Amino acid sequence: MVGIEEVRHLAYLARISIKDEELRLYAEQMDEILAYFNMLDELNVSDDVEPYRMCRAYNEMRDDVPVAFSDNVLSNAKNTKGRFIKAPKMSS
Amino acid sequence: MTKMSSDARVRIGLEIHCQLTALRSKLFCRCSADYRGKEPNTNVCPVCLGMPGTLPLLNRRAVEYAIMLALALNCKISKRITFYRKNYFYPDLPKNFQITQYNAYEHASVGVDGSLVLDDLNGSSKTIRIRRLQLEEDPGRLAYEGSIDTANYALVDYNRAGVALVEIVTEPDFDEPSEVRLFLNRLASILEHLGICNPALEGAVRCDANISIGEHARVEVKNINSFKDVERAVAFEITRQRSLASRGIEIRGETRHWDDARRITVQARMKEEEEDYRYFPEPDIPSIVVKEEDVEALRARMPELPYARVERFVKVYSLSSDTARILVNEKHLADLFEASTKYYDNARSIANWIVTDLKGYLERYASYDRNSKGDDGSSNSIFAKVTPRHIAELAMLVDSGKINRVTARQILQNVVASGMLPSAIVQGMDADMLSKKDELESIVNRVIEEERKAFMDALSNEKALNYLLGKVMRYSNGRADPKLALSMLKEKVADKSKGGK
Repeated sequence: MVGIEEVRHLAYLARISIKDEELRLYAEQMDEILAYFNMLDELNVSDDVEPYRMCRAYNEMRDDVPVAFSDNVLSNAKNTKGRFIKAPKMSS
Repeated sequence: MTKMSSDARVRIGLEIHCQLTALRSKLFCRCSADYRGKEPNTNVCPVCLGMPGTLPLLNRRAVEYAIMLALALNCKISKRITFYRKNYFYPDLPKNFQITQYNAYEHASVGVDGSLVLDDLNGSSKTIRIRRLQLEEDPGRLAYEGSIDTANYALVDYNRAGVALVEIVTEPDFDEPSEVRLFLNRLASILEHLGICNPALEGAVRCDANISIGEHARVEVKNINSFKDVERAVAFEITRQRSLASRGIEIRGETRHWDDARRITVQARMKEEEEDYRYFPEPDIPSIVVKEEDVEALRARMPELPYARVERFVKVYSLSSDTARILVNEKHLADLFEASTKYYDNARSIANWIVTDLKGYLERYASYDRNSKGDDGSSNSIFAKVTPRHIAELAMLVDSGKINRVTARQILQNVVASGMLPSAIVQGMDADMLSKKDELESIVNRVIEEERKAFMDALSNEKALNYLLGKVMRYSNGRADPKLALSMLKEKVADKSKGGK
């Protein structure tokens, strides 16, 4: 069972504010999600597959060649100052 | 300090981040790895900005470099290298997670269980165990208008975001701050010899330290910017913790920041970062399967490493192991040494010159710290001027008795300023050693004239002779042959006491 305090803690880690009356609702929904995932435990998985890897490919890599990206990426940022992106101060 | 606190064992562990500065592109995207000095947010793309729908693609050479470093640190190489997401919300991290490695279900990081031997601890040696070595991406950089305390918001530059880092975590095997410094210097030398990271670049090697005493809680110190400061920060933290313990005050397990202006550690404001990172496997990056033959092929490609080079210097050039270590500890000094021996075959003399005079000069005049903020310019510019030929000529001129060491050091300064060859400077500056009696006669007479009292003292007190000799050296601009000058002074004193002139 997911407790109220756990939801509160997760909200803090995710930097979102939720109302007290929503805590119970999210806790219940998280329980449902976890119950769904628990079905995976019932699967009989042999040792030679990686159960926590969803990708069967391996050694997909590229050469160390730089290519500059030319579009103006700042056009997607709402808050800028010169070429910097403005962000909330996190330290206080 | 009470007995209890000073007896308690100090344990220090390090977490070191090294940028793979020899790479040309970032770890997971094709942006340039060379972000320094660029306009903010010009070295970015949708991948390193964490835009939806983008996929990382791993840089093969980054994996190769990390494996080579792991081998140099005697690590076991994982057969399957996998990546994880470390989740935390902070503006320097555009994806809200960092792609890193984690050893939860298996050994997923590039290397584990390594070691580095410190063999120059005043004659004894000690092994520092390496817990793990892993690849991860560097976050972006935050800047503030004015100071961090007065600014209302952070300014983010993502040019650095996604640059390849190797994180090295040691076991808490250090007992002393000085061992930490030795370790970092040795590691820097390994990085330089492998040619994968230039520790002199600002921020290329960064270090956090864990310090605990006795059974007290562990304190992590972050934000340490230079090797010198790591030693200082650790020493400060030991003193602080001992002082608390001796007064019976609890030492809290916490994260502290090194304040390099005030040279103290300060408590970091509470952040979520020490809490739950909710690691999970990175689904977008397939595993890297490392075969034994791949590892051996990389091992074969590795250049000579510091330990082997020290041994070779001792064997081939008959250097003492101390001298050899000092040279190899900084690759450019070792390279300069080897190149200089091609011009002049007295290797020991050249080594001596580099280790005492050149290094002394660098430390005095170049505010020389191999890893510190923005300080790659000064010593580099000196090495651009001082070539192997310069060093060989200086050693040769001293050995042949043409100039004395004092003059040679002056010539070194001149070399740094002008880039001229020592032999040409000697001709121009009239710097040959004054080693004939008639050349020195007038200077000795002048000193006796001006320093009458000291001269009279010298009749009964040998020490006064040294004072007079110092004057002769000064008036000759350091060119006098000290042995000859001293014997001439003694002669004058003897004459005087015999009741001569």
